[in-house]
Amino acid sequence: MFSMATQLFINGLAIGAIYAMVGLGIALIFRAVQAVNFAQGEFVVFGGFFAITFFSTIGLPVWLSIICGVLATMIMGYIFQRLVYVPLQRSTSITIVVATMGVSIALTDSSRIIWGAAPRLFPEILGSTVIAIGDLYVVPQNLVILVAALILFITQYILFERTFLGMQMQAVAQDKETAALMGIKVNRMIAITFLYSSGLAAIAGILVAPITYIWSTMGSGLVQKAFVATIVGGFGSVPGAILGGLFVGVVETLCGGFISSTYQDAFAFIILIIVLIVRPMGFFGEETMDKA
Amino acid sequence: MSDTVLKTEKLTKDFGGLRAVNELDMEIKKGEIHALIGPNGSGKSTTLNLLSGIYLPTEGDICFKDEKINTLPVFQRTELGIGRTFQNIRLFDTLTVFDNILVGRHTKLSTNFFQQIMKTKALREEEEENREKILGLCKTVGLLGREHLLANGLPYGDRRMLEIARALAGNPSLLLLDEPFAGMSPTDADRLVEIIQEIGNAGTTILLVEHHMRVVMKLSHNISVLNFGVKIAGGTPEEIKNNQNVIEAYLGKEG
Repeated sequence: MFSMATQLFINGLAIGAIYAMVGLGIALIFRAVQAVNFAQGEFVVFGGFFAITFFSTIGLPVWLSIICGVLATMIMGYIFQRLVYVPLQRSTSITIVVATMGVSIALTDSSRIIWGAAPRLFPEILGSTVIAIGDLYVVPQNLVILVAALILFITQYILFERTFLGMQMQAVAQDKETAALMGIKVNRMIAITFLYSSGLAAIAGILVAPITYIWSTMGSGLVQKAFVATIVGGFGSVPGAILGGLFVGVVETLCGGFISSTYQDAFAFIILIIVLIVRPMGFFGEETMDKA
Repeated sequence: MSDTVLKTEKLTKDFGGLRAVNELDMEIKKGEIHALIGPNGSGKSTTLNLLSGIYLPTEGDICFKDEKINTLPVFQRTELGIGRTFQNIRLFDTLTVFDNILVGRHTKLSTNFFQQIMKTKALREEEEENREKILGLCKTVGLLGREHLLANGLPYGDRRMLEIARALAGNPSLLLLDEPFAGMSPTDADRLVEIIQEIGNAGTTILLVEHHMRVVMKLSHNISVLNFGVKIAGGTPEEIKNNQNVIEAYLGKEG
Protein backbone atom coordinates (compact mmCIF):
# COMPACT_ATOMS: atom_id res chain seq x y z
CA MET A 1 0.00 0.00 0.00
CA PHE A 2 2.67 2.48 1.04
CA SER A 3 5.02 1.67 -1.80
CA MET A 4 2.19 1.86 -4.29
CA ALA A 5 1.27 5.32 -2.98
CA THR A 6 4.90 6.46 -3.21
CA GLN A 7 5.19 5.08 -6.70
CA LEU A 8 2.01 6.79 -7.82
CA PHE A 9 3.24 9.96 -6.15
CA ILE A 10 6.43 9.95 -8.22
CA ASN A 11 4.51 9.26 -11.41
CA GLY A 12 2.09 12.05 -10.46
CA LEU A 13 4.93 14.48 -9.84
CA ALA A 14 6.38 13.69 -13.27
CA ILE A 15 3.14 14.25 -15.17
CA GLY A 16 2.50 17.24 -12.90
CA ALA A 17 5.84 18.72 -13.93
CA ILE A 18 4.67 18.49 -17.55
CA TYR A 19 1.41 20.29 -16.66
CA ALA A 20 3.48 22.86 -14.79
CA MET A 21 5.66 23.59 -17.84
CA VAL A 22 2.64 24.07 -20.09
CA GLY A 23 0.81 26.01 -17.38
CA LEU A 24 3.82 28.22 -16.82
CA GLY A 25 3.81 29.14 -20.50
CA ILE A 26 0.13 30.02 -20.29
CA ALA A 27 0.66 32.06 -17.12
CA LEU A 28 3.65 33.98 -18.51
CA ILE A 29 1.85 34.83 -21.73
CA PHE A 30 -1.24 35.81 -19.77
CA ARG A 31 0.83 38.13 -17.60
CA ALA A 32 2.44 39.71 -20.63
CA VAL A 33 -0.60 40.17 -22.89
CA GLN A 34 -3.65 39.56 -20.64
CA ALA A 35 -4.91 36.74 -22.84
CA VAL A 36 -4.93 32.97 -22.47
CA ASN A 37 -3.04 31.21 -25.24
CA PHE A 38 -5.07 28.11 -26.09
CA ALA A 39 -2.54 27.14 -28.75
CA GLN A 40 0.04 26.39 -26.05
CA GLY A 41 -0.80 22.66 -26.21
CA GLU A 42 -0.02 22.55 -29.93
CA PHE A 43 3.44 23.86 -29.20
CA VAL A 44 3.90 20.80 -27.01
CA VAL A 45 2.80 18.59 -29.90
CA PHE A 46 5.00 20.36 -32.43
CA GLY A 47 7.96 20.32 -30.05
CA GLY A 48 7.58 16.57 -29.70
CA PHE A 49 7.10 15.99 -33.43
CA PHE A 50 10.02 18.25 -34.39
CA ALA A 51 12.36 16.33 -32.09
CA ILE A 52 11.07 13.00 -33.41
CA THR A 53 11.62 14.19 -36.98
CA PHE A 54 15.15 15.38 -36.27
CA PHE A 55 15.87 12.03 -34.59
CA SER A 56 14.15 9.41 -36.75
CA THR A 57 13.84 11.09 -40.15
CA ILE A 58 16.99 13.20 -40.28
CA GLY A 59 18.99 10.93 -38.00
CA LEU A 60 20.53 13.41 -35.58
CA PRO A 61 21.71 12.20 -32.18
CA VAL A 62 19.16 12.38 -29.34
CA TRP A 63 20.59 15.45 -27.60
CA LEU A 64 20.92 17.39 -30.87
CA SER A 65 17.37 16.43 -31.85
CA ILE A 66 16.15 17.82 -28.54
CA ILE A 67 17.98 21.11 -28.99
CA CYS A 68 16.85 21.47 -32.61
CA GLY A 69 13.27 20.53 -31.65
CA VAL A 70 13.17 23.19 -28.95
CA LEU A 71 14.71 25.84 -31.21
CA ALA A 72 12.32 25.04 -34.06
CA THR A 73 9.35 25.39 -31.70
CA MET A 74 10.68 28.67 -30.35
CA ILE A 75 10.92 30.01 -33.90
CA MET A 76 7.34 28.88 -34.38
CA GLY A 77 6.35 30.66 -31.18
CA TYR A 78 7.99 33.83 -32.43
CA ILE A 79 6.19 33.63 -35.79
CA PHE A 80 2.93 32.96 -33.94
CA GLN A 81 3.51 36.07 -31.89
CA ARG A 82 4.25 38.18 -34.99
CA LEU A 83 1.36 36.89 -37.07
CA VAL A 84 -1.36 36.44 -34.44
CA TYR A 85 -0.65 38.61 -31.43
CA VAL A 86 0.98 41.70 -32.95
CA PRO A 87 -1.82 42.50 -35.45
CA LEU A 88 -4.38 42.09 -32.66
CA GLN A 89 -2.52 43.75 -29.84
CA ARG A 90 -4.78 46.79 -29.79
CA SER A 91 -7.99 44.74 -29.72
CA THR A 92 -9.68 43.28 -26.66
CA SER A 93 -8.35 40.21 -24.84
CA ILE A 94 -11.24 38.04 -25.96
CA THR A 95 -10.37 38.65 -29.61
CA ILE A 96 -6.84 37.43 -28.97
CA VAL A 97 -8.10 34.42 -27.02
CA VAL A 98 -10.44 33.39 -29.85
CA ALA A 99 -7.61 33.85 -32.34
CA THR A 100 -5.41 31.49 -30.30
CA MET A 101 -8.24 28.93 -30.33
CA GLY A 102 -8.38 29.21 -34.11
CA VAL A 103 -4.63 28.75 -34.36
CA SER A 104 -4.91 25.75 -32.05
CA ILE A 105 -7.37 24.03 -34.42
CA ALA A 106 -5.30 24.93 -37.47
CA LEU A 107 -2.10 23.63 -35.89
CA THR A 108 -3.75 20.39 -34.73
CA ASP A 109 -4.83 19.60 -38.26
CA SER A 110 -1.53 20.75 -39.75
CA SER A 111 0.33 18.35 -37.49
CA ARG A 112 -1.97 15.52 -38.57
CA ILE A 113 -1.34 16.34 -42.23
CA ILE A 114 2.43 16.51 -41.69
CA TRP A 115 3.02 13.61 -39.29
CA GLY A 116 -0.14 11.52 -39.62
CA ALA A 117 -2.72 10.58 -37.03
CA ALA A 118 -0.80 7.73 -35.41
CA PRO A 119 1.01 8.36 -32.10
CA ARG A 120 4.78 8.64 -32.47
CA LEU A 121 7.51 7.77 -30.01
CA PHE A 122 10.65 9.62 -28.96
CA PRO A 123 13.38 7.54 -27.28
CA GLU A 124 13.76 7.57 -23.53
CA ILE A 125 16.82 9.54 -22.60
CA LEU A 126 18.08 7.13 -19.92
CA GLY A 127 16.79 3.97 -21.56
CA SER A 128 13.78 1.98 -20.48
CA THR A 129 15.19 -0.29 -17.77
CA VAL A 130 13.10 0.27 -14.66
CA ILE A 131 15.21 1.32 -11.71
CA ALA A 132 14.53 -0.52 -8.45
CA ILE A 133 15.06 1.44 -5.25
CA GLY A 134 14.13 -0.93 -2.42
CA ASP A 135 10.67 -2.08 -3.38
CA LEU A 136 10.07 1.06 -5.44
CA TYR A 137 10.19 0.75 -9.21
CA VAL A 138 10.88 4.02 -10.98
CA VAL A 139 10.64 4.58 -14.71
CA PRO A 140 13.89 6.40 -15.62
CA GLN A 141 12.06 8.87 -17.85
CA ASN A 142 10.11 10.08 -14.81
CA LEU A 143 13.40 10.91 -13.12
CA VAL A 144 14.54 12.69 -16.27
CA ILE A 145 11.36 14.77 -16.25
CA LEU A 146 11.71 15.68 -12.58
CA VAL A 147 15.38 16.62 -12.85
CA ALA A 148 14.79 18.61 -16.04
CA ALA A 149 11.84 20.41 -14.44
CA LEU A 150 13.89 21.24 -11.37
CA ILE A 151 16.74 22.65 -13.48
CA LEU A 152 14.29 24.64 -15.63
CA PHE A 153 12.42 26.14 -12.70
CA ILE A 154 15.63 27.10 -10.88
CA THR A 155 17.06 28.65 -14.05
CA GLN A 156 13.87 30.54 -14.58
CA TYR A 157 13.88 31.76 -11.00
CA ILE A 158 17.40 33.12 -11.46
CA LEU A 159 16.49 34.73 -14.80
CA PHE A 160 13.31 36.35 -13.54
CA GLU A 161 14.15 37.23 -9.97
CA ARG A 162 17.84 37.98 -10.13
CA THR A 163 18.21 39.85 -13.40
CA PHE A 164 16.83 43.08 -14.65
CA LEU A 165 15.09 41.18 -17.45
CA GLY A 166 12.67 39.72 -14.92
CA MET A 167 11.90 43.11 -13.51
CA GLN A 168 11.25 44.48 -16.99
CA MET A 169 8.88 41.60 -17.65
CA GLN A 170 7.03 42.33 -14.41
CA ALA A 171 6.79 45.99 -15.32
CA VAL A 172 5.37 45.09 -18.75
CA ALA A 173 2.92 42.67 -17.12
CA GLN A 174 1.59 45.42 -14.89
CA ASP A 175 1.40 48.45 -17.15
CA LYS A 176 2.71 48.44 -20.70
CA GLU A 177 2.36 52.17 -21.29
CA THR A 178 4.27 53.13 -18.18
CA ALA A 179 6.86 50.44 -18.84
CA ALA A 180 7.47 51.98 -22.26
CA LEU A 181 7.83 55.36 -20.59
CA MET A 182 10.61 53.88 -18.47
CA GLY A 183 12.39 53.12 -21.72
CA ILE A 184 11.51 49.43 -21.72
CA LYS A 185 11.08 47.89 -25.17
CA VAL A 186 7.64 46.42 -24.49
CA ASN A 187 7.29 44.56 -27.78
CA ARG A 188 10.66 42.93 -27.32
CA MET A 189 9.69 41.78 -23.82
CA ILE A 190 6.48 40.26 -25.21
CA ALA A 191 8.41 38.53 -27.98
CA ILE A 192 10.84 37.09 -25.40
CA THR A 193 7.87 35.81 -23.38
CA PHE A 194 6.43 34.00 -26.40
CA LEU A 195 9.86 32.57 -27.30
CA TYR A 196 10.40 31.31 -23.78
CA SER A 197 6.88 29.90 -23.37
CA SER A 198 7.01 27.99 -26.64
CA GLY A 199 10.43 26.64 -25.67
CA LEU A 200 8.95 25.40 -22.38
CA ALA A 201 6.10 23.74 -24.26
CA ALA A 202 8.55 22.02 -26.62
CA ILE A 203 10.59 20.68 -23.70
CA ALA A 204 7.39 19.37 -22.11
CA GLY A 205 6.48 17.60 -25.36
CA ILE A 206 9.91 16.02 -25.78
CA LEU A 207 9.99 14.88 -22.14
CA VAL A 208 6.50 13.39 -22.16
CA ALA A 209 6.83 11.76 -25.59
CA PRO A 210 8.53 8.53 -24.36
CA ILE A 211 5.75 7.97 -21.79
CA THR A 212 2.49 8.97 -23.44
CA TYR A 213 3.64 9.17 -27.08
CA ILE A 214 2.92 12.28 -29.16
CA TRP A 215 -0.13 12.51 -31.36
CA SER A 216 -1.73 15.38 -33.22
CA THR A 217 -4.77 15.93 -31.00
CA MET A 218 -3.12 15.59 -27.61
CA GLY A 219 -2.60 19.35 -27.27
CA SER A 220 -6.11 20.32 -26.25
CA GLY A 221 -6.29 17.75 -23.45
CA LEU A 222 -2.92 18.89 -22.14
CA VAL A 223 -3.87 22.55 -22.31
CA GLN A 224 -7.04 21.83 -20.33
CA LYS A 225 -5.04 20.19 -17.55
CA ALA A 226 -2.47 22.97 -17.60
CA PHE A 227 -5.29 25.51 -17.52
CA VAL A 228 -6.75 23.76 -14.45
CA ALA A 229 -3.28 23.84 -12.90
CA THR A 230 -2.90 27.60 -13.40
CA ILE A 231 -6.36 28.25 -11.94
CA VAL A 232 -5.72 25.99 -8.96
CA GLY A 233 -2.36 27.67 -8.38
CA GLY A 234 -3.73 31.18 -8.78
CA PHE A 235 -4.18 32.60 -12.24
CA GLY A 236 -1.25 34.58 -13.58
CA SER A 237 0.99 33.53 -10.70
CA VAL A 238 4.31 31.93 -11.66
CA PRO A 239 4.86 29.81 -8.51
CA GLY A 240 1.13 29.09 -8.63
CA ALA A 241 1.39 27.56 -12.11
CA ILE A 242 4.26 25.31 -11.00
CA LEU A 243 2.70 24.13 -7.74
CA GLY A 244 -0.76 23.90 -9.32
CA GLY A 245 0.66 21.66 -12.05
CA LEU A 246 2.41 19.36 -9.58
CA PHE A 247 -0.71 19.27 -7.38
CA VAL A 248 -3.05 18.37 -10.23
CA GLY A 249 -0.61 15.72 -11.50
CA VAL A 250 -0.22 14.06 -8.09
CA VAL A 251 -3.88 14.14 -7.10
CA GLU A 252 -5.15 12.83 -10.43
CA THR A 253 -2.56 10.03 -10.46
CA LEU A 254 -3.28 9.03 -6.85
CA CYS A 255 -7.05 9.10 -7.42
CA GLY A 256 -6.57 7.24 -10.69
CA GLY A 257 -4.55 4.56 -8.90
CA PHE A 258 -6.69 4.14 -5.81
CA ILE A 259 -10.19 5.02 -6.97
CA SER A 260 -10.62 4.51 -10.69
CA SER A 261 -8.24 4.87 -13.58
CA THR A 262 -11.19 5.15 -15.97
CA TYR A 263 -12.05 8.49 -14.41
CA GLN A 264 -8.46 9.72 -14.06
CA ASP A 265 -9.05 12.69 -16.35
CA ALA A 266 -12.17 13.68 -14.44
CA PHE A 267 -10.29 14.13 -11.18
CA ALA A 268 -8.44 17.19 -12.47
CA PHE A 269 -11.76 18.89 -13.10
CA ILE A 270 -13.17 17.77 -9.74
CA ILE A 271 -10.15 19.46 -8.15
CA LEU A 272 -10.90 22.55 -10.22
CA ILE A 273 -14.52 22.65 -9.06
CA ILE A 274 -13.56 22.18 -5.40
CA VAL A 275 -10.88 24.90 -5.59
CA LEU A 276 -13.26 27.30 -7.32
CA ILE A 277 -15.79 26.79 -4.52
CA VAL A 278 -13.39 26.86 -1.57
CA ARG A 279 -10.69 29.25 -2.72
CA PRO A 280 -11.64 30.85 -6.04
CA MET A 281 -8.43 32.87 -6.27
CA GLY A 282 -6.32 29.68 -6.13
CA PHE A 283 -3.30 29.01 -3.91
CA PHE A 284 -1.29 32.06 -4.88
CA GLY A 285 -3.93 34.27 -6.46
CA GLU A 286 -4.77 37.73 -5.26
CA GLU A 287 -8.33 38.52 -4.32
CA THR A 288 -8.07 41.72 -6.26
CA MET A 289 -7.66 39.77 -9.49
CA ASP A 290 -11.37 40.22 -10.16
CA LYS A 291 -11.47 42.68 -13.02
CA ALA A 292 -14.86 41.74 -14.40
CA MET B 1 22.75 74.01 -29.94
CA SER B 2 20.16 76.52 -28.86
CA ASP B 3 18.87 76.64 -25.31
CA THR B 4 15.39 75.57 -26.41
CA VAL B 5 14.59 72.16 -24.94
CA LEU B 6 11.15 71.65 -26.40
CA LYS B 7 9.36 73.35 -29.23
CA THR B 8 6.03 72.53 -30.83
CA GLU B 9 4.91 74.01 -34.12
CA LYS B 10 1.27 73.93 -35.17
CA LEU B 11 0.87 70.75 -33.12
CA THR B 12 -2.58 69.28 -33.83
CA LYS B 13 -4.40 66.16 -32.68
CA ASP B 14 -7.80 64.99 -33.96
CA PHE B 15 -9.91 62.26 -32.38
CA GLY B 16 -12.42 61.49 -35.11
CA GLY B 17 -14.21 64.80 -35.63
CA LEU B 18 -12.93 66.32 -32.42
CA ARG B 19 -9.87 68.55 -32.58
CA ALA B 20 -8.39 68.09 -29.09
CA VAL B 21 -5.28 70.16 -29.74
CA ASN B 22 -5.31 72.86 -32.41
CA GLU B 23 -2.12 74.27 -33.94
CA LEU B 24 -0.31 74.60 -30.64
CA ASP B 25 2.92 76.60 -30.67
CA MET B 26 4.94 76.34 -27.51
CA GLU B 27 8.59 76.83 -26.65
CA ILE B 28 10.31 75.79 -23.45
CA LYS B 29 13.82 76.98 -22.61
CA LYS B 30 16.43 75.05 -20.71
CA GLY B 31 16.00 75.20 -16.94
CA GLU B 32 12.54 76.70 -17.21
CA ILE B 33 9.47 75.59 -15.26
CA HIS B 34 6.71 75.99 -17.81
CA ALA B 35 3.07 75.55 -16.82
CA LEU B 36 0.34 74.40 -19.17
CA ILE B 37 -3.05 75.39 -17.83
CA GLY B 38 -6.63 75.52 -19.03
CA PRO B 39 -10.17 74.46 -18.08
CA ASN B 40 -11.19 70.79 -18.09
CA GLY B 41 -11.09 69.23 -21.54
CA SER B 42 -8.92 71.96 -22.99
CA GLY B 43 -6.33 69.52 -24.33
CA LYS B 44 -3.65 69.62 -21.63
CA SER B 45 -3.38 65.89 -21.10
CA THR B 46 -3.60 65.23 -24.84
CA THR B 47 -0.64 67.57 -25.29
CA LEU B 48 1.37 65.65 -22.69
CA ASN B 49 0.47 62.37 -24.38
CA LEU B 50 1.65 63.81 -27.70
CA LEU B 51 4.91 64.92 -26.16
CA SER B 52 5.61 61.60 -24.45
CA GLY B 53 4.64 59.63 -27.55
CA ILE B 54 1.49 57.86 -26.33
CA TYR B 55 -0.43 59.64 -29.09
CA LEU B 56 0.98 60.55 -32.48
CA PRO B 57 0.19 64.04 -33.79
CA THR B 58 -2.29 64.49 -36.66
CA GLU B 59 -0.30 67.46 -37.89
CA GLY B 60 2.50 69.72 -36.79
CA ASP B 61 5.91 69.11 -35.27
CA ILE B 62 7.48 68.37 -31.92
CA CYS B 63 11.15 69.23 -31.61
CA PHE B 64 13.17 68.07 -28.63
CA LYS B 65 16.61 69.70 -28.46
CA ASP B 66 16.42 70.57 -32.18
CA GLU B 67 15.50 67.03 -33.13
CA LYS B 68 12.12 66.24 -34.66
CA ILE B 69 10.48 63.48 -32.60
CA ASN B 70 6.97 63.42 -34.13
CA THR B 71 6.73 59.67 -34.63
CA LEU B 72 9.45 58.44 -32.32
CA PRO B 73 8.25 55.51 -30.15
CA VAL B 74 7.74 56.08 -26.44
CA PHE B 75 10.80 54.18 -25.20
CA GLN B 76 13.12 56.09 -27.53
CA ARG B 77 11.83 59.42 -26.24
CA THR B 78 12.63 58.19 -22.74
CA GLU B 79 16.15 57.34 -23.92
CA LEU B 80 16.48 60.87 -25.34
CA GLY B 81 15.60 62.31 -21.94
CA ILE B 82 11.86 62.91 -21.61
CA GLY B 83 10.38 61.67 -18.34
CA ARG B 84 6.80 61.93 -17.15
CA THR B 85 4.29 61.21 -14.41
CA PHE B 86 0.58 60.51 -14.72
CA GLN B 87 -2.48 62.29 -13.39
CA ASN B 88 -3.80 58.98 -12.03
CA ILE B 89 -0.63 57.61 -10.47
CA ARG B 90 0.69 54.58 -12.34
CA LEU B 91 3.25 52.73 -10.27
CA PHE B 92 4.32 49.10 -10.50
CA ASP B 93 2.30 48.12 -7.46
CA THR B 94 3.83 44.74 -6.70
CA LEU B 95 7.38 46.09 -6.82
CA THR B 96 9.06 47.82 -3.91
CA VAL B 97 9.77 51.55 -3.79
CA PHE B 98 13.41 50.76 -4.59
CA ASP B 99 12.57 48.52 -7.54
CA ASN B 100 10.10 51.01 -8.98
CA ILE B 101 12.86 53.60 -9.13
CA LEU B 102 15.27 50.96 -10.46
CA VAL B 103 12.91 50.29 -13.39
CA GLY B 104 13.04 54.02 -14.03
CA ARG B 105 16.84 53.73 -14.23
CA HIS B 106 16.39 51.33 -17.13
CA THR B 107 17.82 53.58 -19.80
CA LYS B 108 20.92 54.20 -17.67
CA LEU B 109 21.81 50.57 -17.13
CA SER B 110 24.74 49.40 -19.23
CA THR B 111 25.42 45.84 -18.08
CA ASN B 112 23.93 43.18 -20.27
CA PHE B 113 21.88 40.15 -19.46
CA PHE B 114 24.83 37.74 -19.19
CA GLN B 115 26.76 40.04 -16.90
CA GLN B 116 23.66 40.14 -14.70
CA ILE B 117 23.49 36.36 -14.46
CA MET B 118 27.20 36.02 -13.84
CA LYS B 119 27.24 38.87 -11.32
CA THR B 120 30.41 40.35 -12.82
CA LYS B 121 32.49 43.11 -11.31
CA ALA B 122 31.04 45.65 -13.75
CA LEU B 123 27.58 44.68 -12.57
CA ARG B 124 28.46 45.01 -8.89
CA GLU B 125 29.92 48.45 -9.52
CA GLU B 126 26.83 49.48 -11.44
CA GLU B 127 24.57 48.12 -8.72
CA GLU B 128 26.42 50.14 -6.12
CA GLU B 129 26.13 53.27 -8.25
CA ASN B 130 22.42 52.63 -8.80
CA ARG B 131 21.88 52.08 -5.12
CA GLU B 132 23.39 55.44 -4.28
CA LYS B 133 21.41 57.21 -6.96
CA ILE B 134 18.13 55.55 -5.92
CA LEU B 135 18.64 56.25 -2.22
CA GLY B 136 19.47 59.85 -3.16
CA LEU B 137 16.17 60.11 -5.03
CA CYS B 138 14.33 58.56 -2.06
CA LYS B 139 15.87 61.27 0.08
CA THR B 140 14.79 64.01 -2.35
CA VAL B 141 11.15 62.94 -2.23
CA GLY B 142 11.13 61.93 1.44
CA LEU B 143 10.91 58.18 1.04
CA LEU B 144 14.28 57.31 2.58
CA GLY B 145 13.95 54.45 5.06
CA ARG B 146 10.88 53.12 3.27
CA GLU B 147 12.58 51.93 0.09
CA HIS B 148 11.74 48.27 0.82
CA LEU B 149 7.99 48.78 1.15
CA LEU B 150 5.71 47.71 -1.67
CA ALA B 151 4.45 50.59 -3.77
CA ASN B 152 0.78 49.75 -3.21
CA GLY B 153 1.27 50.05 0.56
CA LEU B 154 2.21 53.73 0.42
CA PRO B 155 -0.21 56.53 1.26
CA TYR B 156 -1.49 58.60 -1.67
CA GLY B 157 0.87 61.55 -1.28
CA ASP B 158 3.91 59.29 -1.11
CA ARG B 159 2.80 57.33 -4.17
CA ARG B 160 2.86 60.61 -6.06
CA MET B 161 6.33 61.36 -4.73
CA LEU B 162 7.50 57.89 -5.75
CA GLU B 163 6.21 58.41 -9.27
CA ILE B 164 8.21 61.62 -9.51
CA ALA B 165 11.32 59.87 -8.15
CA ARG B 166 10.86 57.11 -10.73
CA ALA B 167 10.57 59.67 -13.53
CA LEU B 168 13.75 61.38 -12.28
CA ALA B 169 15.67 58.11 -12.12
CA GLY B 170 16.42 58.20 -15.85
CA ASN B 171 18.00 61.68 -15.48
CA PRO B 172 15.50 63.30 -17.86
CA SER B 173 16.40 66.70 -19.24
CA LEU B 174 12.67 67.39 -19.61
CA LEU B 175 10.21 66.28 -16.96
CA LEU B 176 6.48 66.28 -17.78
CA LEU B 177 4.29 66.43 -14.68
CA ASP B 178 0.59 65.71 -15.21
CA GLU B 179 -1.42 67.38 -12.44
CA PRO B 180 0.94 66.37 -9.63
CA PHE B 181 -1.05 68.38 -7.08
CA ALA B 182 -4.37 66.60 -7.76
CA GLY B 183 -5.73 65.16 -4.53
CA MET B 184 -2.71 66.16 -2.45
CA SER B 185 -3.23 67.31 1.13
CA PRO B 186 -2.06 70.89 1.87
CA THR B 187 1.01 69.58 3.75
CA ASP B 188 1.96 67.21 0.93
CA ALA B 189 1.33 69.97 -1.60
CA ASP B 190 3.73 72.32 0.21
CA ARG B 191 6.33 69.56 0.25
CA LEU B 192 5.78 68.95 -3.46
CA VAL B 193 6.25 72.65 -4.28
CA GLU B 194 9.65 72.49 -2.59
CA ILE B 195 10.57 69.28 -4.38
CA ILE B 196 9.63 70.67 -7.80
CA GLN B 197 11.63 73.83 -7.08
CA GLU B 198 14.58 71.67 -6.05
CA ILE B 199 14.34 69.62 -9.25
CA GLY B 200 14.16 72.82 -11.32
CA ASN B 201 17.14 74.32 -9.51
CA ALA B 202 19.12 71.19 -10.24
CA GLY B 203 18.76 72.04 -13.94
CA THR B 204 15.87 69.87 -15.08
CA THR B 205 13.41 71.59 -17.39
CA ILE B 206 9.83 71.01 -16.27
CA LEU B 207 6.49 71.15 -18.07
CA LEU B 208 3.80 71.29 -15.44
CA VAL B 209 0.16 70.61 -16.28
CA GLU B 210 -1.84 71.82 -13.33
CA HIS B 211 -5.20 73.11 -12.11
CA HIS B 212 -4.17 74.69 -8.85
CA MET B 213 -3.51 78.31 -9.81
CA ARG B 214 -1.80 79.08 -6.53
CA VAL B 215 1.03 76.62 -7.16
CA VAL B 216 1.19 77.44 -10.87
CA MET B 217 1.70 81.13 -10.10
CA LYS B 218 4.26 80.29 -7.44
CA LEU B 219 6.32 77.75 -9.41
CA SER B 220 6.32 78.66 -13.06
CA HIS B 221 8.50 81.03 -15.03
CA ASN B 222 6.20 80.93 -18.04
CA ILE B 223 2.63 79.81 -18.65
CA SER B 224 0.73 78.64 -21.73
CA VAL B 225 -3.06 78.70 -21.51
CA LEU B 226 -5.20 76.30 -23.54
CA ASN B 227 -8.93 76.51 -24.16
CA PHE B 228 -10.73 74.04 -26.44
CA GLY B 229 -7.35 72.90 -27.75
CA VAL B 230 -6.30 76.40 -28.79
CA LYS B 231 -3.54 78.36 -27.09
CA ILE B 232 -5.24 81.56 -26.00
CA ALA B 233 -2.37 83.12 -24.11
CA GLY B 234 1.28 82.73 -23.16
CA GLY B 235 3.62 84.64 -20.91
CA THR B 236 4.85 85.19 -17.38
CA PRO B 237 2.50 84.55 -14.42
CA GLU B 238 2.01 88.33 -14.06
CA GLU B 239 0.94 88.70 -17.73
CA ILE B 240 -1.38 85.71 -17.56
CA LYS B 241 -3.06 86.92 -14.38
CA ASN B 242 -4.14 90.11 -16.14
CA ASN B 243 -4.94 88.60 -19.54
CA GLN B 244 -8.56 89.28 -20.51
CA ASN B 245 -8.85 86.09 -22.64
CA VAL B 246 -7.73 83.92 -19.76
CA ILE B 247 -10.13 85.50 -17.31
CA GLU B 248 -12.97 84.97 -19.76
CA ALA B 249 -12.02 81.33 -20.38
CA TYR B 250 -12.00 80.57 -16.70
CA LEU B 251 -14.81 82.77 -15.44
CA GLY B 252 -16.94 83.39 -18.53
CA LYS B 253 -17.64 86.68 -20.30
CA GLU B 254 -18.98 89.58 -18.34
CA GLY B 255 -22.50 90.77 -19.07
